[in-house]
Amino acid sequence: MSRHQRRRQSPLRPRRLAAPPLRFFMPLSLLACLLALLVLRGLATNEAFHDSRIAISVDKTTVPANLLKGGPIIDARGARNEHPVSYHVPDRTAVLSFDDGPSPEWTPKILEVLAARNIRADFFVTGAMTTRNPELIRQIVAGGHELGVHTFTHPDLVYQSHARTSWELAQTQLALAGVAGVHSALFRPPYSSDATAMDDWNYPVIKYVGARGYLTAFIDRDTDDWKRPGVNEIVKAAMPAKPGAGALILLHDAGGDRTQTVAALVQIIDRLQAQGYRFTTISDALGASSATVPVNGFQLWAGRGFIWATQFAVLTLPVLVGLLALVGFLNFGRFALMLVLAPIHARRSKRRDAWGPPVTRPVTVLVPAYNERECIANTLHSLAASDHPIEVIVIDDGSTDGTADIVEEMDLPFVRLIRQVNGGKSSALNTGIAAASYDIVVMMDGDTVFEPSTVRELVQPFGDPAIGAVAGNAKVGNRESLIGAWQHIEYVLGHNLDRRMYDMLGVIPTIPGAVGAFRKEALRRVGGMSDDTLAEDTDITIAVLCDGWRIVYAEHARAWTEAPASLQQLWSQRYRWSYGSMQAMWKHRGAVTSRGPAGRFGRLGLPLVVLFGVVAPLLAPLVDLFLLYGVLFGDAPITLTSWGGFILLQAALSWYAFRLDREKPWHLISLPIQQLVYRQLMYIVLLQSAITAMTGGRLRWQKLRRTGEVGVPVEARP
Amino acid sequence: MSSVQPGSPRRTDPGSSESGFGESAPAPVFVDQSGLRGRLLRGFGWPVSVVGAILAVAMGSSLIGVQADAPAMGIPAQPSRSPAPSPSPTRSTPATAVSSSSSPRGVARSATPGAGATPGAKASATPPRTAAAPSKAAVTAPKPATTAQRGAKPSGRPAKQP
Repeated sequence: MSRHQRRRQSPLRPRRLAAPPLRFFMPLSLLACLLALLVLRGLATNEAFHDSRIAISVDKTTVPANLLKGGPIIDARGARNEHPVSYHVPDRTAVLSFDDGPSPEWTPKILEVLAARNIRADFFVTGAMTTRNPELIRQIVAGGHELGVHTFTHPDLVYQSHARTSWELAQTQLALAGVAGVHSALFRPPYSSDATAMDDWNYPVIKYVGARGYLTAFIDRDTDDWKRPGVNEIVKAAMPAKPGAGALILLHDAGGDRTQTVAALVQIIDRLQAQGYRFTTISDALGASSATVPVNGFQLWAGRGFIWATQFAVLTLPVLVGLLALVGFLNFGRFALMLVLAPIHARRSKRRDAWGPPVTRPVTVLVPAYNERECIANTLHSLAASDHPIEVIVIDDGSTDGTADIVEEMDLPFVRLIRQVNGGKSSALNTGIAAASYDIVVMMDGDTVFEPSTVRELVQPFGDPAIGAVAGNAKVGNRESLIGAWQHIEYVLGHNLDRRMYDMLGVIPTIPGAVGAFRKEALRRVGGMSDDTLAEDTDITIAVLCDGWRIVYAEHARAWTEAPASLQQLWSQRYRWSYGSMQAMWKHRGAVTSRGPAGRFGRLGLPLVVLFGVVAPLLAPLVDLFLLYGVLFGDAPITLTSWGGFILLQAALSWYAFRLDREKPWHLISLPIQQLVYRQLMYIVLLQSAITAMTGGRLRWQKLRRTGEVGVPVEARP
Repeated sequence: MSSVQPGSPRRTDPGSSESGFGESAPAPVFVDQSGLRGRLLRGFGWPVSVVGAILAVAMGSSLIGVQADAPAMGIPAQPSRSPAPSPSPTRSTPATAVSSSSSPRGVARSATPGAGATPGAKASATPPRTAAAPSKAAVTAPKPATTAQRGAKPSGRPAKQP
């Protein structure tokens, strides 16, 4: 297990990544896959890269007159790129072309009509619809019809760069290769019309596309069927202007209600055949080889891979959205619970006699200390100012910096010093509990500073004999730095608002180690502090709850702690906290099926803590994933607006929490950055500690039992 | 709750997968002394992550769009515009500039349904092709000399060959 025993390093040195890289590589690779899946699915549904601008028509000064007056099929390939030529559909020949498909509602009907009359037609399909309906493409090819490229996302190519245009073509060819193993040499730009509609803006597009080898097919007859003008209108518009002239007819097989199109199609075919027309495809009308060409090799397999991945993405998205909804539901649910329960708690706290007769008897204050020589004096002086009679027991846990000597030198009358061999915080507290003279025990940290009223406020609830423990109000002292401000916000919003909510539900899971009070009786009944977990405060609180005692939150019992001042120390602390909490939750998992008060915690408190403390943070990366996708590939303004709305909601709730705690709200200025950086830090920490929990590694703070190896957390030093 | 002396670390039975009661004291929760769980997960995790990374890269590269060019498609020389009902596709006329002229319509662009309103004027004046005056087969002259007579046109440029 030596891999997991990291060397003890000074917190001042930059910390090397001692963890195996798999624990970072695996989540990153998973997230990269999810992002790729999101983009693929967004492409298929025309959500990603969508450009809905349509250009107006402009002058035609650069378009050669022969093209403007020529046929609908423009050949600008190869040597002809400088001087493109145009082809006509021969006389007595009609070509039906269907744009924007294939769609499952209309294309099959159209294919049926065509098959019944043994007619072949052209289908100008978009890449997006192709990836969504691969089977229809295969049916089109099997029916002998011709495929043409109509771009992937249907943008107006006038507004797109060459790179984008090239991408649209390539991606569509990839899709066609993937679903039917073919490429197409035909192209029709979106929003196109007949040859006279070429102008200075779209002519360069045609030349560029021609340079890539495509034959651009405009139309002769625009039926405007997408406007649904009525079957008669559509049929009339499809008739050639001059009887007997060739006609390339435009119809649509997707994008709305095409019942008129299908009905008109039958009439168009019948009428034109009665006039002696034959129906065929573009390439056949020109006497050329088919424009739909089979592909092999890399293109084929790349296309197939693309289609498989897209289909998988379309299937996976509902799962991701469901998980995202779960995160949202958990977060908003927590907000709602807090908003409902916190005011009730605040009102109750105002009533000073809520707990029965006031508690005036002396209590014991335990101060476990390990290498606290800078802080211990402040701590003891603050206790000296307490307005409640106390006995202080300082348990020196084998300090190496002379903490015990300092305490001895201070020689305060109400302080007893116990030295012990280093055994960890739990064993130090247990020593103190054994030595305590009174029946109420207050626990604090060696670097916590109490106010004069803290102890008194903390022990008043013990006037109610059902109450077994009380949680105090830990405040961040060093809140001026950015990291300090973030933690300050988190303590006020997360910890305190949370604790009010849990208090009203009767399931407070954690009494802060910096300020908490217990009945000695309750501690005895549950067997004292344990070092099974790194979060002995959570462990003992849950144990006391399961024993049937009531635990409350005394918001007026304020204690000032020094929060970690650097990212490394913060990481360290949160790692211990999240890992330790998960240990405690797992240790007490039997409560779920217990009876009595343990069952109540197990079926109400434990699920809440697991949902809010583990599940929601573990799924939180999904929020960032969708945010990233929306900003980079989807609709950025809408995404940012909804994110902004969420931030506002958070800010409102935080402001309310600050008001309840009577804190000045100006620290909330750093809330947006906190949402961008701090939130990520927290879920990364949680993920890492979850991985450690699963792999069963030992953290450096978990001392090897009974070997005397030192493994106590290195606290922050100013 | 198990009976213990107060003041000593609790010796209960945490739910960790430890090496058994007979050996040294049980490990803290989650800690696996033998390292088995860790080895298993790592043995499973590396292949999964590598496969995932490869898939992510593959999916990303499928979006780059490499092969944009169209396949080859040969088009035989097209006949110049002929009034004959039956088209003869194999007339060898090198210049394929077809001489049919049509007066320019108004700016008529057909938009697809899903795209919203079509901007621009939709004044489509269909030039009636009335007199089907036969136009002679174009020769290799750069500019075909024949003009099809046109009937009355609405406004617009006259359909004359330059």
